[in-house]
Amino acid sequence: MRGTDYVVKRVFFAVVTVFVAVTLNFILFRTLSGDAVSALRCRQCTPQFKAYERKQLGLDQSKLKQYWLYVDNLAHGDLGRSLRTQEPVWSTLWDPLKNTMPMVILGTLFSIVFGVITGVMCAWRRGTGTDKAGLWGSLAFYSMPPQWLGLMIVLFVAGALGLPTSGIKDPTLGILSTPSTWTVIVDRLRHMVLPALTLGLVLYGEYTLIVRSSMLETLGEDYVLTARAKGLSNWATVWKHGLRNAMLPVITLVALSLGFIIGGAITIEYVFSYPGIGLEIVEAIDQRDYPILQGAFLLLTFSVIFFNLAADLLYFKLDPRVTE
Amino acid sequence: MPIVTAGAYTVKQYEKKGTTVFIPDKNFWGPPSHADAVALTYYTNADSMIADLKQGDLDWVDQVPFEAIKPVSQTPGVKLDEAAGAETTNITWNSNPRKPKNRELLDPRVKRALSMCVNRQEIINVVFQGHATTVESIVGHISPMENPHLGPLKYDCKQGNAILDKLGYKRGPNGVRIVPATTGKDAQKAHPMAYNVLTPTSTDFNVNREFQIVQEGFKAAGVKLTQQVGGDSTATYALETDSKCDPTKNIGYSHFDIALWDWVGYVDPDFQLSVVTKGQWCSWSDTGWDNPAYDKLYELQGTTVNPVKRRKIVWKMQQMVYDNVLYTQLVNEQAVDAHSTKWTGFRIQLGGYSKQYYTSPHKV
Repeated sequence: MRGTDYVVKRVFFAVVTVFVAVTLNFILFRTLSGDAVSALRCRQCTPQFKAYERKQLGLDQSKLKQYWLYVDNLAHGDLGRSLRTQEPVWSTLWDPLKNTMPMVILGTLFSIVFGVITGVMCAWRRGTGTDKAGLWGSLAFYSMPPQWLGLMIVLFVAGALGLPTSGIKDPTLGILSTPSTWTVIVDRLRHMVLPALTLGLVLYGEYTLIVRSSMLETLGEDYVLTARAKGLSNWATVWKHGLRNAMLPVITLVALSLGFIIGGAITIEYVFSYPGIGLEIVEAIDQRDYPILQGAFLLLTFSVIFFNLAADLLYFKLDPRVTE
Repeated sequence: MPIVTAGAYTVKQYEKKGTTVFIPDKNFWGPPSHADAVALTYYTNADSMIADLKQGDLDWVDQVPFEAIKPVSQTPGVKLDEAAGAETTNITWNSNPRKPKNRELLDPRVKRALSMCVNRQEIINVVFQGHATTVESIVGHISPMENPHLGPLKYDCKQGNAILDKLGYKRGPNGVRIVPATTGKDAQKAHPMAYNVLTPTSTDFNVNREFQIVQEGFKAAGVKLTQQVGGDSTATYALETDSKCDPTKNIGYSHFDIALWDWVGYVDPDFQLSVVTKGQWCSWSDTGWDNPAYDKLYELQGTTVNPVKRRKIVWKMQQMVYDNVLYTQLVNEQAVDAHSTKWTGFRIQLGGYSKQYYTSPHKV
């Protein structure tokens, strides 16, 4: 029953967090100066026209009424409609989300692979130049603002590697001829590499530090000493025995990071003109398109909460000591 | 798709905030097009755009950022084109006759005196790297109906200080001038000449550096300025107009004194002249000016068909705006485009959203 208690508590906590986040999302955007109607500047935008628009968009109602309407719609799975285009929020966000997800996943893979390799090397070569270089390098990248790093990559790396710095695909692909599937995939990957690399470089430091710390603990265990005494190679000792047990915190870190990474992609998408959810959010802020902003931040909130919950449940599954 | 157009190309693919691709319209009545396809890409980041131009991934760039003009001009295989642009930057003065505070800033003599202490040439050199010119009229150099007889505003801080001294704004012990107390309707207590200057974050030039130059100039005149970052254009405009702006009740334009911003004008001056009318309160008006005589002239010029008569009215309106110092026009930006030397036919004089795009790009 302890296991069931743990799961129930975690799920309940997640639901409460979602509710608090939904409320905060609603309040915060309305603290910005101006609204979707005041963002309109046109010669025909008379006070009467603006009053009519406000009424159409429901902005003339009290904040409390708007809030209850929003929560009620949300309970029915309705995220509302964009104030700009009147399109459903979900369909407006879906395309940018489809663009962001592969880039984020690729970036996360970069950071995990590179972080694990450097973390293991640093732990295995503890105290040496390799350890110091790995540590300092990962800390340096971890402390860099993603948008600045992205800019440096645009200015100094993109040209050298012949990689594009904007968009998600070659604009003329498929216009003058019909490309093969492989050509399309390669083109998409070429456009995704630099933003994903930026994300990966900024995040890999986390994995390096966690893996290094975890490996140092594991490599000091008796069973590792036994493995060495039995004459196993360094490779087998480190990767088969040490890393497998040191990966538990890394799995948790991956789950936790995934939730935040989507939010962190905003600045990177801006640098690379990558039409993902980050750019959509920036435009919605400019236009004070509350439903889009609420929908987008709700998605981010859900992803953070979902992956936190998944991390909690996974950890419980992998390490039963958690409930004790 | 394809969308019907009147030009040599038709839209093949459209992406919001992405790339729009045009292909030749085979049924076009005019000369055949020279390109197999034209892709227009929206960049959120000017540095990426310039990097792609330098790498040869772009053949033409609209409005090179001012700080990038020099490195781009030194790039092999790239040519710059320059012409008078549509954008003018300005000091915006809250000219709402009912503003409750700092009413000394409604006096054109005060505004003119302070403006005489702003080194516009320094703004041109530093902020725009020399790619701008001074301007006096609200309509800017892009309009052939620009009044050439305005000003020019002299950079003469000595005279500016003399005017302020004569008007009775004596300097306090810390060097900041004091506005004496007034009586009667709209009475004010004595207060220092210290003001906030609203600046938006959404300009295409370094408004922070421009503010610093203006601040130095005003300091020389004994006036203290503090920058107030307004946020994006929506937020800044809301701060200018007030959240409950209503022209029918004369509510609005109560909480700001000065802003630094810009206008992008049109060939026809109608729009630019409209932004200071009462009819554009809470919409395009950012000065809150309310002058029935001006509004009448605006209506008249809109219905005057004879171009000579219309020009006379339009010039008079520009003179009114200038005399009342609703704006201190700072600079008229140059439009600077860049294109690959592999292509020609780009005509910068016809670029920008104030004129119809007409280019005939073809290979050299």
